[in-house]
Amino acid sequence: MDRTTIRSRRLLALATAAVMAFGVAACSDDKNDSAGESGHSGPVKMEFWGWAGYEKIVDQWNAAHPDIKVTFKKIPSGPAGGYTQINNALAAGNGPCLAQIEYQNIPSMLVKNSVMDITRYASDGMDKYVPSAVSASSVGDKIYGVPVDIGPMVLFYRKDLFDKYGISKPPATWAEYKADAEKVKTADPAVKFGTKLGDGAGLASFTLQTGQSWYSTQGDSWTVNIDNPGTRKVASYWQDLKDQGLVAKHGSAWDPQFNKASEAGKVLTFVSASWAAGGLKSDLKGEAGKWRVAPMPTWEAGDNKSASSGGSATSVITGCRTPREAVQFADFLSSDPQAVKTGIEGGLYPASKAGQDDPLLTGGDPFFGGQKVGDVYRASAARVPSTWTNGPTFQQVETDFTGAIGKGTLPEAVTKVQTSTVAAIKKLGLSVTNG
Amino acid sequence: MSSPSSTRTASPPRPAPAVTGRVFPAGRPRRAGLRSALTASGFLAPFAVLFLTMMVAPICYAIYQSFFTVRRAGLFGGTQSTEFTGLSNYADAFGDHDFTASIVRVVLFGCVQVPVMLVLALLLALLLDSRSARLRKTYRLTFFLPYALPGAIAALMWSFLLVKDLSPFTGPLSHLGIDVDFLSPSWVPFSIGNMITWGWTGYNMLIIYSALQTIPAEVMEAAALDGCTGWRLAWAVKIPLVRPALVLTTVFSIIGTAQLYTEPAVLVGARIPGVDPKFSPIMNSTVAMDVGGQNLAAAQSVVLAVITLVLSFGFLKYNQRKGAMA
Repeated sequence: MDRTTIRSRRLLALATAAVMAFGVAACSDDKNDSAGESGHSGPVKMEFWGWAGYEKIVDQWNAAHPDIKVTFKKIPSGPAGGYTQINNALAAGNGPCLAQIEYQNIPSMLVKNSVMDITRYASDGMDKYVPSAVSASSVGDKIYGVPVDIGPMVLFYRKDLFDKYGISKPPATWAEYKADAEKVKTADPAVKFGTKLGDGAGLASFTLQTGQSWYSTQGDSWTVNIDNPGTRKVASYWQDLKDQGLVAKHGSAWDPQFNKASEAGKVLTFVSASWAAGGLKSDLKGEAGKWRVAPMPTWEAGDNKSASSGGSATSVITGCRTPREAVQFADFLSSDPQAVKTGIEGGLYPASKAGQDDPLLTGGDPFFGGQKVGDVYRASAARVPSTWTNGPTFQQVETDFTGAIGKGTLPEAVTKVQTSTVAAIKKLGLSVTNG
Repeated sequence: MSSPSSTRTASPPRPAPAVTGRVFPAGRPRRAGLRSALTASGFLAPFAVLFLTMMVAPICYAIYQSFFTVRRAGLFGGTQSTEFTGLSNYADAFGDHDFTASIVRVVLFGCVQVPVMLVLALLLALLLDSRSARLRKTYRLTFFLPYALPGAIAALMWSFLLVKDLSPFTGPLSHLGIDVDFLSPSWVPFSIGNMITWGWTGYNMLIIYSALQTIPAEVMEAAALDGCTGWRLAWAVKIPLVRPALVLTTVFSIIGTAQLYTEPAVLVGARIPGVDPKFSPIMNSTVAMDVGGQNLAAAQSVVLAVITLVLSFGFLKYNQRKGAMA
């Protein structure tokens, strides 16, 4: 046997070994939540996917519960691809046991059969959470998630710049908001009072404040009502502000553009949910003490209506073999005092009633000049109308609004997305009518 | 006259080395044949396994999926059944204005961007290859460097460079009275074209440059003796000889353009208004997937694959025929 033959044999063996190793590696990547199925012979292992800073809370759980081990995996935020990742993993049979799901996306996850009905495990603990969050995590009388945080909307404003431009108090109504914006524009056209409304999620939140809803259901049928008087009012109001140059055309809060404008003192306010404070504190450390929080302006003086944006629940994903343990963990994440405190430190406003009384929230916040911002959030949360129903095609509505707002005005976008949403729901095979 | 080939890989083409390994002793042809077949399959196995599992199987699965539709009943489609619906997903794909518009958009985009990029790559390669080029290695690396940056990061970087208020270009331009927003709907295709050209010119340049390096020294010498230098040398000798490399880079670019995703997706992710979330065909199927239309997404992917195949192979065939006639 000559040398070339030996060498080629060796290579063949090597190649075979490589292929086998690859195969074995693929096999060993087993589902990690299978331990619970055979009568809890070993510790239960579960994966939890989300994008909020839940790492520390998961560590706290694991330290206290040695037989139920949870592994946290950070994924992109839901609308930025996280939901797609969950659904794809589920289709491939590798889904996690638990996942962070925003309230407005729960119906869409249901349509894809991705989340489990956890009513029988979770119903007893639900009175720990504020009613609006419980109803946002449920459909009918079935519970599909344990609420973690809520996003009551408020007006964030710069106290120092208000003084500079002679605005004595934050606007209480949208009419005052516009008047203040005009005042600032007259003083300096390069300075903007607020930021534009530029996406579907924003439009939905502002519509919620008007008491209208984009969807309603009757029996097994959906009615789409995106093009309603409330949304039309919101759309033309913000389009008008944009056209008149009263709000920043480019950039809304969290864009680098917003941060740059804010550092230059060129933007005074923005309307957003409580969780936005987390971003403010990390992005604009230099402006500590200058920001304040005020209630969201209303349409009618004293109509007392606020809105909410975002907030999420922990859902149990279809196929999880240990739903009972999964719900135990979800409940810990949302209501354990230490876990809730960790969440608040990370910028979450808890759905837990007890959590809202945490000293971190009821005490003064130095970033907001010692203001007791928890009181403002709580008041806003209590005034959110309970008229809203979430639709079954969350991602499509978001995408279509982004596309339509990029090409035309807000009112035009509303008409367009009304049509495209009815078509999309029909395409899913669900029963739908035009509202 | 100095030899123009001084920098070229010095050795003249050698006669092909005798393929001693393949000459089997005449007495044992069968065993040797079996052995070499085994060797060959051993070498092929890792590739074949990966190719079958990572390429062929998903493609077959996508084609299979594209012929089915999920039927739902109830408010949330709680009861679902999958049924064979033939070509209805394809009919839906072609009936979807956003999808067809994105195909037209990407084809138009490629018609402009690919030639610009390849002409630029060819020019750079010729300059690097020219006799008077200095700091050859440095320039080669510099031109190639953008390709080393992951596409998503490059797109993110460009989004900062182009977005109004942060861009270092828009400010000075507006002082000159030119008020542009590089990320407004009418500018977006050009901005994306700019990102891709920036990222891929160096890569294509390197392929063309390698081809230039393999031009036999005596051809160049003969050209030089005939008094053919400079641009004339490039046009009459070098470019015709690197034609295969140009065809190759064009085919790669056609495929790359058809799969356009990263740059517009990063811009959409950065919430820049004016970038259509359904800019490219792949983005359309991602959106379809997101709303539970995986069968439609599969059909869209198959349509895109067929178009890419037709365009790239069509171009290849056209060139082969032209090459045969010449």
